[in-house]
Amino acid sequence: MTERPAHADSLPPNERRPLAARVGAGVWGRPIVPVVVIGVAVVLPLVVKSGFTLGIFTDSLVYVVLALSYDLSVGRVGALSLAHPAFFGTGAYAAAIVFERYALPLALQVLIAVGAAVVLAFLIGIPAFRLAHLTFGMATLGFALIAELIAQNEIGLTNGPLCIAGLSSLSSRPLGSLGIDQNGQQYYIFLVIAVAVAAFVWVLVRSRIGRAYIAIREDEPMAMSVGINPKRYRMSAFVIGAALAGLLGAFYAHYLSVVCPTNLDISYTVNLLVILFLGGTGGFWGIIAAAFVFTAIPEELQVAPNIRLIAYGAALLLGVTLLPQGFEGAAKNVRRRLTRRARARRA
Amino acid sequence: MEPDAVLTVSDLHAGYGDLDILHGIDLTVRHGVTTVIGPNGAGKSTLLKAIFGMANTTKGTVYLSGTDLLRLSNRRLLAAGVSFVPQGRCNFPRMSVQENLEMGAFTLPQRQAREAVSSIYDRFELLSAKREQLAGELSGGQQQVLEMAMSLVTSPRLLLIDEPSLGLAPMTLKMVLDEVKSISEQGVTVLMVEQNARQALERSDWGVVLELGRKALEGTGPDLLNDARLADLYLGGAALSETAVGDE
Repeated sequence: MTERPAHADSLPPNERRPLAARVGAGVWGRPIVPVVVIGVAVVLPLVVKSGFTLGIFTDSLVYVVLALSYDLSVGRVGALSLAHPAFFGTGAYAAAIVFERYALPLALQVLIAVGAAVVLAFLIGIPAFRLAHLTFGMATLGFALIAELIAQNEIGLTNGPLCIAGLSSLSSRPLGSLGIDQNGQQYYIFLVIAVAVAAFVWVLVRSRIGRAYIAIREDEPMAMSVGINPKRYRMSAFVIGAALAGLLGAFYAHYLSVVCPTNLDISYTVNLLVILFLGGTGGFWGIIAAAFVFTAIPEELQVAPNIRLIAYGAALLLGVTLLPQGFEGAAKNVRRRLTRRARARRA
Repeated sequence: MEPDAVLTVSDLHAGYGDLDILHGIDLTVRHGVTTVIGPNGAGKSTLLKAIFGMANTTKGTVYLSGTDLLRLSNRRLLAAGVSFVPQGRCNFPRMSVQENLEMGAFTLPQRQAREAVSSIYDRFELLSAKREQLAGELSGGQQQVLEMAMSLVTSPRLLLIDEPSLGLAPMTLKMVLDEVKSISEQGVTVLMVEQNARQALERSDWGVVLELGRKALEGTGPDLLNDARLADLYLGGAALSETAVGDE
C-alpha cells in the first residue's frame, strides 16, 4: 500500500488554504473593500435620480439581508431549509398586526417581529431537525406552506387575501431634514440594516460559533467527537437566520405599507436558492453580488414573473454546472490564475 | 469494580436504530493500552461509539472512575476526561493544523485552549512545523498524528481510538502504534480498536477479542498473541505471534 495525502486531491483549488486565510485575509478580507463598497452604496442615491431604479437597489438590499440570513442555515451548517420566507413573512405580519391593532412604535414592532420569527423557528426546527437532510428540507417546506395557508385563510388575524394595508410608510425624519426624498430615505434605512446584518454575519462566522458551524458542515461525527452538539448549533444558525429575516420583515411591511400572504410565498425561496448557489453557499461577497445581480437585472429588464422563473431555473442549472462554487469561487480561481501567470512571467 | 479499573463496562447492549450489535459486553479497562480485535462485524467500533455516546445503548452501564458515561453529552464526556478518535479521516481537511487543534480544544475556555495547543506543539514537533498547512494536505501518518494530538488537547484520562491503521502504509502504522504506546506511558489510558492484531497486541498491555457482539477472549497482549484459541478464531491454526493475521 502506498501512502499519500488522503484528501489533498479532493479539495477544490480555492480551498487549499487554511480557513483563516480564506475567510479573514486576501483582498476581500481587507477593510478597504467594505469601506469602498459602503462608500459607493452611500453616494448611490446622489447619482441615481430615478425613483424606480433606486427602488430596485432598495429591493436588492432586502435580498442581501434575506440571502445572508438564509445562508446561515443552508451554507454554514448545511441544513437546506425551505422555510425562510415564512420567517420573513411572519415578521412582516407581526409588525403589521401590532401596528394596526395597538399602534405600537416601530422599535417595539421590530422586537415583536423578531420574537415571532424566533418562536416559529423553534416550532419548525425542533421537529424538523430530528429528520435526515432531505426530509428536513421537505418538512420545512411543509411548514412554509402551512404558514402561507394560515396567512391566506385566517382572515380574522391577517385579513387573508385582502392584506393588511395602510401601514405607515417607512421614512426617517433626520434624513428628510437633509433634503433626501422618501425613496432615498428608504434606501438608506435598508442600507443600514444590510450593513449591520452583514457585519453581524461576518463576525459570527469568524467566531467560535462560526467555527463550530463549519465543523458540522464538513464532518458531523468529527464535530461531535470534539464536543460540538450538531443539533444545538444547527438550531442556533436556523433561529438566528429566522430572527434576522423577521427583523427585515418588520421594516419591509412599512416599506410596502401593506402585508399580503404573498410575503410568505415559496417563490422567495427559489430566488434565494438561486442567489445562494450562484453567489456561493457559505460565502459572503459572492452572495451580496448575486443578490444585486438577481434582483436588479430582472427588475430593470421588467421581466414577467413566469419568464423570470424560467430564467432563474436556467441560471441555476448553468450556474451549478459552470460555477459549482458560485461567483465567489470563480473569482478566487481567476485571481489565482492571474497570480500564477504573473509569477511565471517574473520567473 | 476492580481496584485498578479505569473503565468498567457491564452488560452493554448497543447498536443502531432497533438493531443491537453488542449483546452484553463486560469489560474492565486498566491503565495502559487495551486493544480490541475481532473479525468484521464483531462490534469493535460499536463498542467505542457506545462508550462515547455515538451509538444507541439499550442496556448496561459504562463507568469511568465512578462516573456513569452513558448519561453524559459529548461535551461532558470530554470534560470527564474521555476523548475519541473515530475511524477513517477524523480531522477537518479544509482547516489548517492550527485550526484543527483549536477545534480539538473547542470545549476548553479560550486561554486554556491556547495553552493546551501550545503544549501540543511542544510535544509533536512535526505538527509545529506544519501548523499553517491544511490537514488534508498532510500525509496519512501525519494526519493520524494530528488526530491523536487533537484528542489529547483536552488532556484526557481515557483515549478511545478506532482503527488508527486504516489506510496507512506498514511503516507508518508502526510509527502510529509507537505513538499510541508513548501516549499511554504518559498516563493516558488507551482503548483501541485495531485490525492489525499482531502489531497492535505487541504494543498492548491488554487485549480483548470480540466475536458477533460478544466478548470471546481477553488477556494480556503477549498472552493473547500466543493463545491458540485466538488463532483458531481467525485462521483455525497457528498462534498470532507466528502469523501475520490481519496485517496488510
